[in-house]
Amino acid sequence: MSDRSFFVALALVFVSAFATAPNAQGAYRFKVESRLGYHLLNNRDLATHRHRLEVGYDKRLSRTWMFRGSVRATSEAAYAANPERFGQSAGRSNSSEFVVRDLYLEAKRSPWQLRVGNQQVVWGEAFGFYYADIINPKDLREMGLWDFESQRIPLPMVQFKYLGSSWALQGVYVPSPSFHQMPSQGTDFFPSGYALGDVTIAEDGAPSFSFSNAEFGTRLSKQLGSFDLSTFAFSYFDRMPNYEASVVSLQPLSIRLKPLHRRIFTAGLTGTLDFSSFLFRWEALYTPTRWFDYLANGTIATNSSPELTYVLGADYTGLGSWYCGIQFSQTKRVKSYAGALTAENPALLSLHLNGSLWKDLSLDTTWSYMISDRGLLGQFRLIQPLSRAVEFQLGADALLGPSTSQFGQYREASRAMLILKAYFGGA
Amino acid sequence: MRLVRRGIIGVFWVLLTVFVGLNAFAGAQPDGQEITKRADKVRVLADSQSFLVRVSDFSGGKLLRATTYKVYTKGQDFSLVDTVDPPRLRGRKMLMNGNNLWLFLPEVKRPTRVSLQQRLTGEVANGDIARTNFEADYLAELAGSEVIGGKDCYKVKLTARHKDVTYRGITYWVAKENFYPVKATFFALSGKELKSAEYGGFKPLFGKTLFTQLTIRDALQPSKYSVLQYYNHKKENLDDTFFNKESVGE
Repeated sequence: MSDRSFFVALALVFVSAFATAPNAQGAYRFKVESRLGYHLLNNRDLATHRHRLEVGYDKRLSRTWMFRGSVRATSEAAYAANPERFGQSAGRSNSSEFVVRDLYLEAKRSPWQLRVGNQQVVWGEAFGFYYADIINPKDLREMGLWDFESQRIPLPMVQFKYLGSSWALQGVYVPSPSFHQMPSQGTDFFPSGYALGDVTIAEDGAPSFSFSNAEFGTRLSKQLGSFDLSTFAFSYFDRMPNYEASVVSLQPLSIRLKPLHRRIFTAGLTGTLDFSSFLFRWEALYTPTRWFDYLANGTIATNSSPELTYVLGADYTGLGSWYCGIQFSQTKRVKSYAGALTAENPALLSLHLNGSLWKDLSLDTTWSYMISDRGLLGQFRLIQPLSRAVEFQLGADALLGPSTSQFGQYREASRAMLILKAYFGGA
Repeated sequence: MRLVRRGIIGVFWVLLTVFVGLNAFAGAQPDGQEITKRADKVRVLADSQSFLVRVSDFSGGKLLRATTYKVYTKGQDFSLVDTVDPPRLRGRKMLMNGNNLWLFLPEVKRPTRVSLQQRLTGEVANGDIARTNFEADYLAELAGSEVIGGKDCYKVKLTARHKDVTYRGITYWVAKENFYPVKATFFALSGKELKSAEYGGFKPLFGKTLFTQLTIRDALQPSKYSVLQYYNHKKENLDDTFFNKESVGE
C-alpha cells in the first residue's frame, strides 16, 4: 500500500463516518496567538514577530465515534524584517507555514478505544523536557522551549487501548515515520559551533512507505493506590539525525551533509508516587544501540553505544495554589568516543515554580542548570487573563553559561516576549 | 402470698415495658454517622450522574472570575471534572479515583498526578468539587444541637478517616427537620479553621431533593468567597473505565 493510498483510505473512512451522521453536532474552535520578541543581549533586535491561527473542529458522530481535526497557519516576519542578523536563507522555510495538526477518528466502546489518523501520543511523567515523550517528533526550531503541545508534530498512526478499571494496555502503529524539525542555518537555534559557510545540509526525508519502515510500540500502565507505574517499548527511527558527510568540491571546499535516521529500540519505565505533601516522579529509558556522530580524521563518523536516561523529580504540594517541583535527569552513554559532536553524559537539574501572584496574575518559571557543562536556561512567564477568551503573557528566555555549553552556545538567542492568546468557539 | 407475687410480677412487666419503650424512643435519635449519611443523599442524584457547576469567585463583593465545569460522578470514589468555560481554560480536566487525582491540560496532552490539597480555583479545592459525600471519608460524632440561620440543627464533628482526604476535620450542621446540610466549617490538621460552607438552593430533581448552591468562605478573609451553583443534573450509565486516567485526554 503506498503512502497516497493510505491517506485516500483514511479520507474515505472519514467521509463515510460523516455521511452516517449528517445531523450530529459539531463545534469549531479557534486559537489566535501573536508574539513579539526582542533579543536581550548585544543587538537588542527583533527576535520574533509571529502570528498563528489554529482552527479545530470536533464532531460527535455517535455514542461511540468522534471526529477531531485541526489546522494551523503561521506567519513569522522576523526573518524578513531583520536580514542583517538572520541572513537571506533563514526566512525561506521559516516565514510561513500551513500544517494539519490533529486529524483523527476515535471510537470509544468500553473497554476498547481506537484512534486512527494524525495524532499525538504522549508518554512520561517528567516536566520541562522530552524524555519518555519519544513517539511524536518535535519542532526544535526554537529548541523545544515552552508550548510542548504546539511543538509536538502529530503523526498518522493507529492507536488502540484496552482499559481495565485501574490498568491499561496501549498499542501504537506508525505506518510512516517522521523526524524532528531542526533549526535552519542562520536562525537563533542553529548550532553555533558549525562554520557552515561552505557546508550544505540535504533535506531530511521520511523513509519510503513500507511495512519494514513502520514503527510500533506498546505500553502497559497500572495504578496501585497512590502509585502510578508504566512500562513501554517502542521500535522506531531515531527522531534526531546522524549525518553522512560527502565532499562536493575541493576548490573551493564544499561539503554536503546527508541526514540519516537509523532504527532504534527503546524500553522504559515511568511512575509517580503520591505522599500527599510530596509527589515523586521518575522515568528510566534504555536504548541498547543509539547512534551518534563524532569527528574523526577530519570528517564525520558515526558510532553506537547503549544509552540510559533517568529522571527523578519531586513536587511539593503544600503551597495552596502554588506548585513547586524539582527534577534531576541524566543521560549516560556506556561507550565513549573522542570527538563526539553531542554531549555524552549530560546531567540537568531543573526547578519549576507556578502559581498565583495577585488576583488572576500568575507566574510560571522554570530554571534548568546543566551540571555537566555549567549551562543555564531560565524561562519566565507572567500570565494575565484579560477576559474569558483572551490572555496576555510577558515572558523571557535566558540562555546562559560558557559558549561550549548546550545552553550557553545559544546565549545570543536570549529574548523577552509579549504574547497575546485568544480562544473562541468550542462546545 | 400468691396475690403479692402476681402483683410484683405485674409491676415488673410494666416497668420492663416502660423501660423498653423509653429506650426505643431514645434510639430514634440518629448517631453522627447516620446524620451524615442522610445529609449526603441531598448531594447525590444517582450512583452515576452528571451535572454542571458554575464556580464564581468573589472578593469584597466583586466578581473576580467564573468557571464552569461539567462533572461526572460514579458512586463515592469516581469523578471527572471537565472545564467548559471560560474558553481559554476549556479542555482542562481533573480526574479523581478514590483519593488519587490527575490533571489533564491540553497543552501537556497527558494526565499528570496532583495532590487533593491543591486549589482548583478561588476558595475551592479540588476535593470540594470532585468529592460528593462526607460519610465515606470521615468518622462522624454527634456533638449536640444548635440553631443556625433559624433552623434547629444537629451538630456533627467529622474527623478524617485517612490522611488523603481534603480536610482533617469538619464541623457539620444538619437540619433536624429534613436532614438537609446547612453549614460546615473545615479545619486543617493543626486545628486551624480554613474555611466555611453554607448550603442552599434546595430543589426537587428526579423525585429527590438536592442542594444546588454552595457558598465557600475563607476563614481568615471572609470577604473572599466562592459560590458554586449546580445545575443540569442527569442520571448517567458510566463504566468504571470512563474514570481510568488512560481514557482521559484528547
